[in-house]
Amino acid sequence: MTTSAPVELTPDQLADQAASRWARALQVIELLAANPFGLGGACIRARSGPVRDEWVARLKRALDARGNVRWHRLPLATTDDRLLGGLDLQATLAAGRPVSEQGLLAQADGGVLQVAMAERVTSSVAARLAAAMDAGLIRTERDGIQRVDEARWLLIIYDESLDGDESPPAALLDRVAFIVDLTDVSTRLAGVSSLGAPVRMSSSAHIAAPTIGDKRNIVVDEKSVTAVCQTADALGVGSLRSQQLAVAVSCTAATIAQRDAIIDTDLALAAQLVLAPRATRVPELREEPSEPESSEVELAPEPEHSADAVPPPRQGEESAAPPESEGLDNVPDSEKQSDDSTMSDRMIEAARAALSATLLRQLAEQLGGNSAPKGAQGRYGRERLSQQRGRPLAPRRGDARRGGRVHVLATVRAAAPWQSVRHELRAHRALVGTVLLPKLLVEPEDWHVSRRAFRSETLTVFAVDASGSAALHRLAEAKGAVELLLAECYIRRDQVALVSFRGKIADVLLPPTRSLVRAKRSLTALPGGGGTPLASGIDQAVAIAEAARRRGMTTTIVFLTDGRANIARDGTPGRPQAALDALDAAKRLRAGGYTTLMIDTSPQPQDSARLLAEAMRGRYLGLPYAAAPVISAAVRAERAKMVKHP
Amino acid sequence: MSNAPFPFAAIVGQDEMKLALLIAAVDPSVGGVLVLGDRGTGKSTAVRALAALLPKMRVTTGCRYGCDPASSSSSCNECAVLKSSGATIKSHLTPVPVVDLPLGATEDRVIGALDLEAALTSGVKSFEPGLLAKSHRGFLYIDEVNLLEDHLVDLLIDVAASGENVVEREGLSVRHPARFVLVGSGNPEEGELRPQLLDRFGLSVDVTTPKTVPERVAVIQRRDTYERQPAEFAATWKRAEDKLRKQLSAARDRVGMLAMTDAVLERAAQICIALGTDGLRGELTLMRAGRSLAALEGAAKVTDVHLRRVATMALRHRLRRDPLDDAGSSTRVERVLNEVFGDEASAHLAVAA
Repeated sequence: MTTSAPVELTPDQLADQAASRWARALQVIELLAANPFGLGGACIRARSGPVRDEWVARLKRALDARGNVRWHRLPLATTDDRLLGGLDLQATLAAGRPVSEQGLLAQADGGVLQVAMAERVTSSVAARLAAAMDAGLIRTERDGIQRVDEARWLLIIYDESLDGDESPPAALLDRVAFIVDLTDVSTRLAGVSSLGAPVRMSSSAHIAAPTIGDKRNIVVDEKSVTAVCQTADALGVGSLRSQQLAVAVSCTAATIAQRDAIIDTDLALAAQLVLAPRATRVPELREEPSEPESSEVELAPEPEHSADAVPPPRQGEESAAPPESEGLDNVPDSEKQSDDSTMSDRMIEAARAALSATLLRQLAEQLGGNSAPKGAQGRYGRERLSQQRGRPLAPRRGDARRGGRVHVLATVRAAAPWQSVRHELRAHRALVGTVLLPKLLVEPEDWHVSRRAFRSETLTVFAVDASGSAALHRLAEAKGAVELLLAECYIRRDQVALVSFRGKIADVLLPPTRSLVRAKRSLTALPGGGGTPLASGIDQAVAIAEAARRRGMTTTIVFLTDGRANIARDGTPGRPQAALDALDAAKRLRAGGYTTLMIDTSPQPQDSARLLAEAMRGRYLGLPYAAAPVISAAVRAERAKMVKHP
Repeated sequence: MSNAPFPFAAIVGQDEMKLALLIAAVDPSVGGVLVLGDRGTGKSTAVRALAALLPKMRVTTGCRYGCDPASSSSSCNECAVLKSSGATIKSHLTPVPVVDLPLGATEDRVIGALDLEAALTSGVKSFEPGLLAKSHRGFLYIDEVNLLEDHLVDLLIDVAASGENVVEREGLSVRHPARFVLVGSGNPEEGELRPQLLDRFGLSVDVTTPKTVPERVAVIQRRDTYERQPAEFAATWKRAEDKLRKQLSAARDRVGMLAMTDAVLERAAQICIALGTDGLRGELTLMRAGRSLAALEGAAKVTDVHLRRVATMALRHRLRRDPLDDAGSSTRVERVLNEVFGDEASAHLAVAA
């Protein structure tokens, strides 16, 4: 039952596990086809490729067996007027009165809505989708139009993120029942050639399940619900929505099997397909399910974020056991006290089987308490920002020829009240009705141009040397400085990130954020001690800065270190190599052209940090015993300079 | 949406949120309610449920802004003219409005704008009331308030505070009463609200996912029963709902008559000074919320115990940010309350609880 130190798996075992993953993916199709609008949908973790295409094709066939289902795609850069609907200008002008049009969300009603590259979807788009999913309706209050449309769809989101770095918005993950992982599923397994064409069209044995509506005629007894909740608790899945979806999935499974009550098998299936992918902790079978250890409870405060932050099973190390043929390493406890706990124990076993060894290891590490709980690090703060950029201001009267875009709606609005007057006037001027007048008469004074307010956002990346004896002292200062900066930042909408390097590698303790809540949580967990992997710290800081630059932010990097590296990039100890690597990393940073501040924290300022600062073309500050306010003041001053001379 | 909403009384746990909503419903002058917390904790459910719980209100027939025929102070221009003319005013009962502000709503629909339809078809310049007018005397609910554009939030809070919507755009100059309780919800992990904005909400509550298994089971089971048979479910809870509704009506009638003793006022001031909250808004809210609570519980007068029970929700969002203090704001309020009240009041509280 030990979860640490996973054994290296043989290729055979790997293949087995990929096979079971594919089998589960096919079960998801069956369930979705039987109850397309009751389960939210699914998140597919896979890069675009033949295997994913095959899965989608199978889902399509399964749904088509129900009747014709339309498929819609949500483009990434959809604006609100297309997403939610609004004034249909063409029709409005033609008809001479306001005509509204449906947005994409309303058009997709009764069909499938696909969101590609869901990890790039902004939180505001996600919130609009989520609101519509909750109500089954889409409300539009835009452009003088109000309308309510039905909007019930099967949501398929494609998570194409590379690693734990990015993930789809938690608001969406929380509302789809399934998280399907297709990583490492081979094309052969999926029955497609690597060129994409299906090898055997008839291989779709899994589809066309009888469709029998949703759960309405299935009995949901308290025992099953309790089992679901206990399992969720054991796995550290806190979101009530996931638990509700797990119940719904069990019902659907029972419906497919034409039973009128949920049995263990259905619950086990729900545990594997719904709960296991969201696990934030390793379930312990023998533990009393209703009383989790206190150390584990602490992991669970923001459970819905954990779903996105814990990377899905990726390495293909997964035990292949379906619930019935259980018992690879989990020997079920034969003495069960009550029926209840038997049920949830079986569910937990099933869920365990679906957890990959990688995930188990990560969870075990987190439980060890040495790194900040990954579960607490969503990526929300970041995404909100791009939405904030270029906030549109109210359109203003003006001439589009002098720059700016015509704000058509404002122009039409301005012109609208005068139409009857203008028509009369023109009719007078044009002799007899020989001239066909346009419906809408727009005059120069009607023109409105749109305006936008841009604010360049800034990100400050702190790279803190958490190594060795002075670490605790430095860390306290760094924490203080970060919090002070953050306290201002969230007023100004600036962001802060924190990298700490110690031992063998650098960790991103705090991805770019302006959330004080999250920052504090990460900061309290900042550990100290060990070697100084300076090169790796610099690399990590640059990686964050690059990502931020792609999002259009201006970045300052602040190092708090004594500059004495002793761990090389590859994690081996040794000062000479470590120093060379650090210099190399510093040069790379310079190539990026980031504003850099090197705060030398050694008791006697020395050349190593200064040289490094020169290599980075950064500013060097010897602040041996700097207190938090001094550091934050220095950073502010540096940033102010940068804003003046970008 | 056509279904009966989830009964307020059937919401499992989340007592602080329910209490805050009830307090705001008793006395709208308490100010809005801000609900921050985890996803899927029934924030929207509670607000919608509240709508169904509220007793119906009397409105002037034909008034576009839903004016109260009895009140003379807050009526729109047309009603004011009508009232001063001494004509008999027809009125009818309608449910209290709970208006959703959907994400992506544009400013013109929020504050109201030129009626495009009328303008385009008949060339008439007329005002089309927006969501603010619709929510007059009711509730305006904003889900994910931290995703709403800043200028819209500013505008909403301004109107909520002044009780009047002033529209000056597109050649229109309109003002109409818009007294509503602003209810915002959001997730603090997605970015925080500006402190200026936090302060404008009367009460603020934190919600978390229920931690115990039996509670979760109850939530899921009730939800499940409700989804299967909304009508039957509502019927089961009807008595509890009716009781709550009566309590609410009674409290609304009584709240104006409850006296605040000097001792209680002094206590409120003490608490606010000890916490270092800026401005008088904190004290006002604290007193009004305490009074609402007393009215809700049918108490004869407002006491320290009432103040104490609402102090956390009335004040926790008004504290000066102290990034170096790790304790959450609720803890800080608790700390000060213990100091101000001493042990004697805590004992009272224990009895009351």
